[in-house]
Amino acid sequence: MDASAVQTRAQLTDYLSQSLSGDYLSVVGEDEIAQTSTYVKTYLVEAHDGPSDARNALARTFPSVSERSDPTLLYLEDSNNAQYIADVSDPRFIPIHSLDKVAFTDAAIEKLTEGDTPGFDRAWMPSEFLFAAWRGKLTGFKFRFERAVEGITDSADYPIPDRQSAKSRRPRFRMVVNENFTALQDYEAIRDGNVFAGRQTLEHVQFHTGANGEYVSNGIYSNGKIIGNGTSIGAYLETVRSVASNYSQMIRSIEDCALGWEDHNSHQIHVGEPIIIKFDTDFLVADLQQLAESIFRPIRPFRLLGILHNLSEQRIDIEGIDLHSGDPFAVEMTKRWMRIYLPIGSCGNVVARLYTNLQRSMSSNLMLVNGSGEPLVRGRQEIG
Amino acid sequence: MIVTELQFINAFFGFCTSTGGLWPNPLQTLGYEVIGIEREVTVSGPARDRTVVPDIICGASALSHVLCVDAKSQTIDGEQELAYMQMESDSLFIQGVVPSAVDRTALSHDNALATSRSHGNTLVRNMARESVSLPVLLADEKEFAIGDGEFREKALNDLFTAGVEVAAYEWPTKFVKFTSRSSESEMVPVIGRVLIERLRDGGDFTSDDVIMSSIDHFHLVGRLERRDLRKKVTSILDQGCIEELSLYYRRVMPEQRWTVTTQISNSPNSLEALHRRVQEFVHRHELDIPFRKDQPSLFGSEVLEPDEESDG
Repeated sequence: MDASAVQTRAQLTDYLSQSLSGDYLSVVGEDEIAQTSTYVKTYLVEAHDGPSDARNALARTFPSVSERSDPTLLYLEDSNNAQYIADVSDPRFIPIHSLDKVAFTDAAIEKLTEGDTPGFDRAWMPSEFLFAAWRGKLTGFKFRFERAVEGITDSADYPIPDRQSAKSRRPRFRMVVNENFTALQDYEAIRDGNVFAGRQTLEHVQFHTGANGEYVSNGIYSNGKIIGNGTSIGAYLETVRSVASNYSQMIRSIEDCALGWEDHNSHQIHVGEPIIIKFDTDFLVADLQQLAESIFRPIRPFRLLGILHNLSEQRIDIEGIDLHSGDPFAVEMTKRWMRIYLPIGSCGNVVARLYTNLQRSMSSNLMLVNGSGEPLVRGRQEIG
Repeated sequence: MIVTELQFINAFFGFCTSTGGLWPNPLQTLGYEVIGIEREVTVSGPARDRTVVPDIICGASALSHVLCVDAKSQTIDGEQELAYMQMESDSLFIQGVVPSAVDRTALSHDNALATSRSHGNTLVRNMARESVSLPVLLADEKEFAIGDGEFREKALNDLFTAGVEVAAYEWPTKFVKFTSRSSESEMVPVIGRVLIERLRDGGDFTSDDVIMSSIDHFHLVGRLERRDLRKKVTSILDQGCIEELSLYYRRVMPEQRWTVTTQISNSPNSLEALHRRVQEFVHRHELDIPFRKDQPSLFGSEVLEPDEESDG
């Protein structure tokens, strides 16, 4: 079955299940078709312009976009003829499924979300979100941390020689546990033992789930990519559904904090509250201005512009622009915290992108809270 | 510490908002919400009516109470403050300052003046000379407290008699970005950010476009505040297009309109070049340095011209 034949959700399920059963036929050479087993891949993307323009915006990256008989599905084809089905039932948070080669699909999603196409961003999943996302049995995880921001002093950041150039560079921390049924105990031992302190930033979780002898092995990445193989496409789609639903809930809870004037009983009242990122104490901010300048830059991954003002050793204020959405926001920053003012109507994904990338490049021990001090990323306990 | 009008406004927004424990919110605890900023209120008098413009108005429906705060330096207008003394709570209801759902018969209000602690004695002396009797709140980098008089609302009186402790480095600044009485150095960072947005979009823009993208309360303020905001923002936009940002936009004379002459692409180099120029514009205003065409970079490195850029 070809993705272009998918018209309904039932057919989508059949199409995706081919990859699990090994019935998926792929072109491996000229006039040569092979029967292969491949991972199902889903990319969760955030469309900040909403339903009005999602289809036209997708067409800027995918030369072929066509509607299906189920109006909540779209068929997409990229310039390499890789095929996708986008589930636009929630037009803001769109899972895009594919069975094609990861080299093609990763490149297409990068093109869609890295600024070439206005209106789309990746899902940015902080560590606590990823750890709350696994179901069944945790079988693997990956920590990834690199001190990409400047202005911080930490004894673990001694420079190491770079073989590629004469310059030295800061160390990159990686740790992978894969296909291991003791992964949860390993994770907890590392967390509780404080190994890699401040660097326990999850990039990936892997888990087994399923029922009645059927199973799926899922992987969820912090950039919104979900993969699966096994025998139960239903279990895989449930993973996608719960990740998309929880992500949507996280972004909406961020946007619930947005500040501005709202009409209450025909009267304007100022509503909302700032969002706070609290820093931990296992590193020292030596140069606040340098730190702010390294975060508010128009390049990946932060993609932010910031006008710095009221500079002092203890505090900097910033007028920011999210280059993904073009939306404004403002920040007050000290050596211990960052207070974010998101105006009503601004896209909350900027906060998820900022926070997730600070976890990767500043410290894994950050906290994102609302004005009442409640975490905005629901951890495993809160989800239950 | 001299507390500016804008700092007072943001402090009171913070008192009415949860900020993660990084600024006290005692007015929110008492049920107050911010219901007005720079809102004109007409006060009727025996000879003629007067208009007062409190910097901030907070209302608590549970207490049926409204608090109007006007930030001062050490001088007073006299007539304005006497008008505050003559204001009636019912006027706040009739003029739509408070939601019509409140109990009109139970409505009460307090008008207060706020000033820096170091200005307190002079302000109180000037008030006595003009026979003005209003509660005065004094603020410094550590505390907000009553300096003179008292509030009619007991909960407020208790609160500010005991004093509200603050920490200067936690002082919120971003609830309200500026008013017409803000300094250029307070306004330029916000207008600089809006200019970047406009230069990315291309086309023409007006002072109202820039104000509405800068502050979210423009639609709430009175006619005089609007007029003064337009005047100040126009002045800053005019400076920008003959100073650091002359390559990017120009004034369309004689209209209150500006047009983008170099639209910015999304390439990081173009954005960095524009950003550096806006940052120079902001930084120079903060340091109160006059513009010079041959001004060396305040950041110690040359600013790229748009035609020197290379995409990277």
